[in-house]
Amino acid sequence: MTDLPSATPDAALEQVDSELVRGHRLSRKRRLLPTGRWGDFIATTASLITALALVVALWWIAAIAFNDPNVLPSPEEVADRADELLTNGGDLGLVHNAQVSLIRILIGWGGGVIAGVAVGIAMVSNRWILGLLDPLIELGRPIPPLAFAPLLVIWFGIGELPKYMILGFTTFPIVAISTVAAVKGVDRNWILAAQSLGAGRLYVLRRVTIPAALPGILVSIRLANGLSWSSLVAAEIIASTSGLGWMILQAGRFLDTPTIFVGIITIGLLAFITDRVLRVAEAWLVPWRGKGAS
Amino acid sequence: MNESKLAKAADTGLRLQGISHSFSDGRGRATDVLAGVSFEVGAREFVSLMGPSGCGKSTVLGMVAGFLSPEQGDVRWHGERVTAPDAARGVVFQKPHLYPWCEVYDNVMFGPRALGRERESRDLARDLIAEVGLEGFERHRPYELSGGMQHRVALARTLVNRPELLLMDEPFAALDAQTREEMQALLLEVWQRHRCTVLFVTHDIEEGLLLSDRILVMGHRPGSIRADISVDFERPRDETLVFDQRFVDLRSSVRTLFRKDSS
Ligand SMILES: Nc1ncnc2c1ncn2[C@@H]1O[C@H](COP(=O)(O)OP(=O)(O)OP(=O)(O)O)[C@@H](O)[C@H]1O
Ligand SMILES: [Mg+2]
Repeated sequence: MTDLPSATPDAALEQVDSELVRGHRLSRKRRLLPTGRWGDFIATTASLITALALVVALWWIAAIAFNDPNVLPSPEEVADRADELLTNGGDLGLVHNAQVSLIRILIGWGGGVIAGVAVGIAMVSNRWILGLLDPLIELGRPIPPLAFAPLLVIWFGIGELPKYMILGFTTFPIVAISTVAAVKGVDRNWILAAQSLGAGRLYVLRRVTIPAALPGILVSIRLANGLSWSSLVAAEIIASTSGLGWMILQAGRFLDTPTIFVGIITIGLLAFITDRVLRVAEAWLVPWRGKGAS
Repeated sequence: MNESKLAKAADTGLRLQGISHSFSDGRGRATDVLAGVSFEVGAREFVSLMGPSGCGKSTVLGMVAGFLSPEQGDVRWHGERVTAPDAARGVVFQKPHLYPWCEVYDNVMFGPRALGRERESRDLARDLIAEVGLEGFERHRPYELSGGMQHRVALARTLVNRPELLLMDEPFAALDAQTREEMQALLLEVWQRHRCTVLFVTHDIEEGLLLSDRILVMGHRPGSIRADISVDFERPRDETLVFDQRFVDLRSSVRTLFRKDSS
């Protein structure tokens, strides 16, 4: 048996990732910050704050230059509006709308993840399923989920279901395709070793293939989370009466620019936070990622 | 001595007959890798397969393991044709191929669990981990171990299944001299205690002579068996054997065979 190098599809991504981490480590050492996870955290936070401060400063200058809050409100005006929407906003209440959107994302994206992983594994387990679904997914993938919105309303009404479906459509193909690629990229020698240790088909799938493909699958799950947030507004165009996307659209109708800004920033913030949470989960679930397994 | 030879004749454990194989490079070009490889390994015999790099040793081993089927000829284990991997034919690969999502102990227990023999294998797993010198590392992940330590875990992972046939592909090549000697001694001890059949691939002539009952020397392009050398030094053997005149003679004649082939 020749030993083929493992060529996981996300290997390139991991390479980039580990390169970044390595670069990070270097700069961390130079700055003599504490080592370990906290050191990373402090360094990331510091660079984040710097970047944010820069953006806010430029924004402020631009706002003063424009001098028209309906076009470009200043950070201060946006902060005031955020404060207002946090304390009492009625239908426009920020906490309420953020909650609604977050739940929609969790259900729509979560459903897409489950379906994507399941279908992906079914596709690599069975040639016929692969032959049937692969072209369908590839054909459907470039269509923006928003294009499905009117159809979904006609078919499923104006309830929550079509909104979940739009978010699910965003997630499903990425996760399914990545699962197929990750499973196909599993080092064959791991599987051969398992078989000659006495593992049957199902045991190999559960104990070798899935854990070995997990790093690649998790990356796609995280990417899909980001994309779900970016299709949130599309999902909430459908006859909504709540949600951050709806809040933005509604504010647009009344030329309420500060509220639009609050909505945009909140979406960005929530997307960022969920991404961080998923990164931590990833590090916990696949601690061996990029550790040169052989 | 005579008795064991009779036993060998009665039960030919492993038999390869007229194996030929070529690999295609995916662009329609095929390279003949093996041409008419035939040999037998008796039950409980320790046979080394040697030869220059790229002559097809790993390919032969993979066929015996059931990882790939020869284009021509067949591999039989106890008279039955080998078509798929099986726990009775344990493999120690050229690389450790441990599972990084499992700790050392769980890597070693992989086979017993897959076979539903977890309970009765626990003690053996602990013993083997100790024997390969990794006591205290049971809860470590493979990437926290050195390359040599990973190889030793891989050895324990295969031995815990008590395979009837042990296929080893240069298992000790990556180890330092000291550990290699320890592992060779361990292997001989396991082999003697547990009486399995071993097909052992190595580059190292001394290692082959020290461990085996027989050495099969393979030649190059396409690969075939050039010589079948009986190594009948009495057992148990130890490192002092290398000073024995018969050992020195045998070593130089094998070396000559090697040279002839690579030129
Ligand atoms: N999957 C494959 N596809 C194409 N060619 C292969 C493949 N596996 C092996 N070969 C070729 O077959 C020949 C024999 O390979 P093999 O790995 O069996 O050699 P080996 O004797 O084990 O060498 P080494 O001692 O270096 O491990 C080599 O020339 C190699 O290029
Ligand atoms: Mg080899």
